[in-house]
Amino acid sequence: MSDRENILARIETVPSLPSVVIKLRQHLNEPDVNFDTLARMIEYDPGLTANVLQLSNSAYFGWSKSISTVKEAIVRLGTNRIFQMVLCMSVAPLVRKPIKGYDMDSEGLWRHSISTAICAELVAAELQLTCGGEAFTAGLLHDMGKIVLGTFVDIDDAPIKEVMLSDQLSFNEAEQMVLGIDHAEVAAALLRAWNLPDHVAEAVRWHHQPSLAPENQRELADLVHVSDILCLDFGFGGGIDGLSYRLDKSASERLGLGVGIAEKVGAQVMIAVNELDSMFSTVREGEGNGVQHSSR
Amino acid sequence: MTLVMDRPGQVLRAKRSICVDISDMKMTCNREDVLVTYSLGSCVGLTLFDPLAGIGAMIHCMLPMSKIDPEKARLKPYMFVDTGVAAMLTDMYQAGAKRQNLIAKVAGAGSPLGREETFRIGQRNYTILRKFLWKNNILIAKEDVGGSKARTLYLHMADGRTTVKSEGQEVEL
Repeated sequence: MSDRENILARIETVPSLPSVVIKLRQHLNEPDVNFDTLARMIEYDPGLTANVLQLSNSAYFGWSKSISTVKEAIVRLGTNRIFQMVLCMSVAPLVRKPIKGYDMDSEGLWRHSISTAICAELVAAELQLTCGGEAFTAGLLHDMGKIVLGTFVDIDDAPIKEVMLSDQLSFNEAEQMVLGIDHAEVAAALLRAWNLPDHVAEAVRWHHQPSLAPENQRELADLVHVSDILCLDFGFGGGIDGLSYRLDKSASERLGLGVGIAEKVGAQVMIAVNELDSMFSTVREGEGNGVQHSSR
Repeated sequence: MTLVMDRPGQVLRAKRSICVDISDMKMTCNREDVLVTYSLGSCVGLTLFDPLAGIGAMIHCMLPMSKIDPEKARLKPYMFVDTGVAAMLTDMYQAGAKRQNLIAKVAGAGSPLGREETFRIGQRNYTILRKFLWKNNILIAKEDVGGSKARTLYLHMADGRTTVKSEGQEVEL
């Protein structure tokens, strides 16, 4: 079995995304979304319910009157924020741990994932992009491939560094050359295995080479690409790969993202990441963040 | 608190590691302290050390100029090179440091790969920092800037040494 086949087979060992995430996603897209239905989906899981209420009542939102039911949380925070909360809670147990091979501590990938999600959402809002609805999800999940590929990068650490130096390659190009696959392609395969929509998986697949993304999905790939690079630039959870990625200039040109907006968004991301991070640090440890993962 | 042992089983002295977050600055006059900042990408880290007064400080700035968001600069002055380094110098002088004694060392200001890097945040951070220090008659003694690696910067108050760690290697500046 080649490294590539071995790596793709390893995707099967990653716990699947909790079914509540997929169900919430489907219902959010319905025009006449019913808050009672959404609330019941979350309340089915007592741990998740407790954490949604705890986060909804955090100082960050500054409510004068506390929120006591999931439906009230949905009404006050909006369906989108609630979905993002559940998604973050679902992903946290998978990324909030040291990532072998990339030399990331237990907070590294978590901080990079949430910062890229926030950055993508802010850039999309600033530029009024049509793909804005998927910005947070694609940003949050773009580097999920690292949780699978890390073990392989760890073993082949020396040849990866060697080809980066000898052939002037970026980190993902070196992964591709040595292992036959890079973390972006692994992430896309994982997202498909989780039944996430194809356009999100495609944006994640091409987040280091957005110009190669299918034209109708390029905007989201461009958005994740620039958000990823900006967050690495600002030091939000980088690893051994540092800034060893190529910035595709045409991506920022297609989006119309200049340095002024990039810096303005960067300042906002800094504040928002700290707020989101401290909000999630209050979520009880040891309960799988209240989301029931199932193994496949 | 990090206990430092020179040989197994013997604690010779205790060092206190003080973390300087992104958009933060820390100053100390305690010789036991080690100031440290992680994940310097395009951000710049600056250490200033006055060996006579025994005062050291470290700043981690994200962006070059505060004019892009004056409100954020008011809330987080250390986020920007212009407001951050000005506040750092004010604090150091108030604590008793003298400009002519300050030893300045800089790390970071990296950039992603590619000749046509669009944002050039690292390069601009460095340019503004250098210009600001020059206007204040402070020369940069040593630096490790540019490239595409992430860096960790340390200032050891015991002897004023500044070290930079990247890709598993730690070197003295």
